[in-house]
Amino acid sequence: MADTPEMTVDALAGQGARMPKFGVHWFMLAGFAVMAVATIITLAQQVWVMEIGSHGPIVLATGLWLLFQQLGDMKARAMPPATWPVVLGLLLAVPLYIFGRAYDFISLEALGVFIVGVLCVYTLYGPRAILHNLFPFVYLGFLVPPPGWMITSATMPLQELVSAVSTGTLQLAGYPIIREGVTIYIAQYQLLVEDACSGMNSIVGLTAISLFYIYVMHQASWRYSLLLMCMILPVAIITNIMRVMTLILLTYYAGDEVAQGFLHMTAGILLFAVALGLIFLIDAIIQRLFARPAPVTAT
Amino acid sequence: MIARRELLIGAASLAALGVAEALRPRTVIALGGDVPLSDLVPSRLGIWSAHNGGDIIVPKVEGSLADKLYSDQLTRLYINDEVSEAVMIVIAYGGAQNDMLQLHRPESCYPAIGFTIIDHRFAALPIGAGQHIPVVELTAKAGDRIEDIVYWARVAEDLPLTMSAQRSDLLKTAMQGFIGDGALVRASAIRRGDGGDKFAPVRSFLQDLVAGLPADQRKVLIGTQRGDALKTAAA
Repeated sequence: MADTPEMTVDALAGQGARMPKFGVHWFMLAGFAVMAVATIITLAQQVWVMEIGSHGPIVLATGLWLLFQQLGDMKARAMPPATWPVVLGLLLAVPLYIFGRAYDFISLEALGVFIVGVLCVYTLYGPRAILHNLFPFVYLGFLVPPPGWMITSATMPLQELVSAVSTGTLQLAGYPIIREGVTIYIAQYQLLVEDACSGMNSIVGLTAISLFYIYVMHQASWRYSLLLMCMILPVAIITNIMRVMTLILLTYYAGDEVAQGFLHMTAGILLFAVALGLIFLIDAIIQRLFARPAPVTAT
Repeated sequence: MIARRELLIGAASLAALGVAEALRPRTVIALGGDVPLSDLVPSRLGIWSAHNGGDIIVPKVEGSLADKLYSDQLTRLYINDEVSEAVMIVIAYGGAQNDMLQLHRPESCYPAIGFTIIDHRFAALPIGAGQHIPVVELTAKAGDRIEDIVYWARVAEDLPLTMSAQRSDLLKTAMQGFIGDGALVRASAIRRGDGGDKFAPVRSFLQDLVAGLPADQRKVLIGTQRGDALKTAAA
C-alpha cells in the first residue's frame, strides 16, 4: 500500500523537522501550483485592480501566513484521508474551474481552485486538521471574488446611506452640495463617488481585513469575537462616509484632479488601515470599559 | 510511490488547465472599431441635423467605468427644425466583451443617479426590408424632468433585450469560440410640460439613423444579418 501522509510526516517528525517535508508530495503540489498560479495571474489582472477585489494580495499573503502558522497543529491532528471526498471534490471543482476559466467567469474559476486547494490539504493532513483550523480556510475563501452584480444589489442601499450622510452633514456645515442618488454636485463639480452603478464595493475587503484582526487578537474568546464581528458593518459604513466627505472637501478646496487622485489612492490600503484603526479603537474602548482582571494561572 | 489520491489531484489540476485553455474562445469578431463613431454617423440624417454641427464633448475620466468599458463613444443632439423636436443620441462601442466588462444598460444606472423609471417595455422597431430591431422603451423621471428613451444593445451578432439575455448571449458566443464586440445605441427626448410622450419622434429618429448609415457600416450597430438584409433590399 502506498505511503500514507501520516506515516511519512511522522517519520520526518522523528528527525526533529518542525515543518513537514513536502517533497514526497511533489506531484500533487506541483500540479496544483501550476493551476493556482494561472488563476492568481488572472485574479491580479481582472480583480485585484478593482475596488471589489483590492484586498486580494493582502488576503493571499496573510492567509498563507496563517495557514503556515497552523501546520504544526495540523500535523498533530493528521489522519489518513479517505478517497471518496477527493473524488467528489474533484467532480465538483474541475467542471466549475474549466467552465469559469474558459468562458471568463473568474468567480467560478477561483472557486474551483479553492476547492482543489482544500483537497490538497485534506490529502496531506486529513479531515480533523481542517475542521480544527477552519478560520485560515474561511479567510482564504475571500480570494474567491463574488459576482459584481451580487455585491451591487446587496449593498446599493448602503452606498445611498453613505452618500446621504456625507452630503447631509456637509450641507449642515454650509457647503453648496446637491445630491441625486449617489451622484454628488459640489460648487461647480460633479462627483461620481465610485462608478455610480455599483454598491459599496469595499465591503468585501473591509470584512476580510476586520475578520483577520479579530481572529489574530481574540481567537481565544469566541463570544467577544462575535461582538466585534457585529461592529464590522458599522465600521465599514463609517469608513466610507469619512472617505466620501474627504473626497467632497478635497474637490471643493483643491479641485477635481486632486480629488480623483485621492479616490484612487484610498481605494485600497488606506481604507483598510482606517477601518482597522476604528476596530482597534473600538476594541480598546470596550476592553477599557469592561476591564476584566487577567486570568490567574494556578501555581 | 505517489499515492493514488495525490496522482488524481495533480493530474486533474493539469488536465483541467489544459482543457480550459483549449476551450477558451480566441477568435475576435469585431464588427466595428476601425471607423470612429463620429465619422460613421452622418451629421444629417433625413430631416434631422446635428445641433452645432458636431458632437457634445463628454469629458473622458481616466480609469472610470465608462473609460474601461467603451473604446468609442458618441453623443450628439439632433434637431428637426420643421416640428422643433430635439433628440439626443448616445452610442457606446466596446471591443472584447466579457462577463466583467460588458455593456451597462441604462435602467441599471438610472436609480443610482437619482432617476426613477416610471415606464418600461419591450418593442420591435421596424427598419425596412421586413427587418425589426428589438428595443427597450423606458421613461425616466427626475423631479420635473421626464425623459423618454429608446435603446438597443448589440453583443456580437445578438440584440439582447435584458441583462440576463445579454449574459447568456455572451456565453453562447464564447462557447462557439468567439469573443464578440458590443454597441449600445440610445436615443432620448425630454418631454415638454404640456405635451404627451416623445416616443414617436425618438423612434422615427432611430429609423432615420439606421437608414442614414453607410450600407457597409450598419452592422456595427445592428449586426451582420440585419445589415446585409438592408443592403440587399437597397440593391
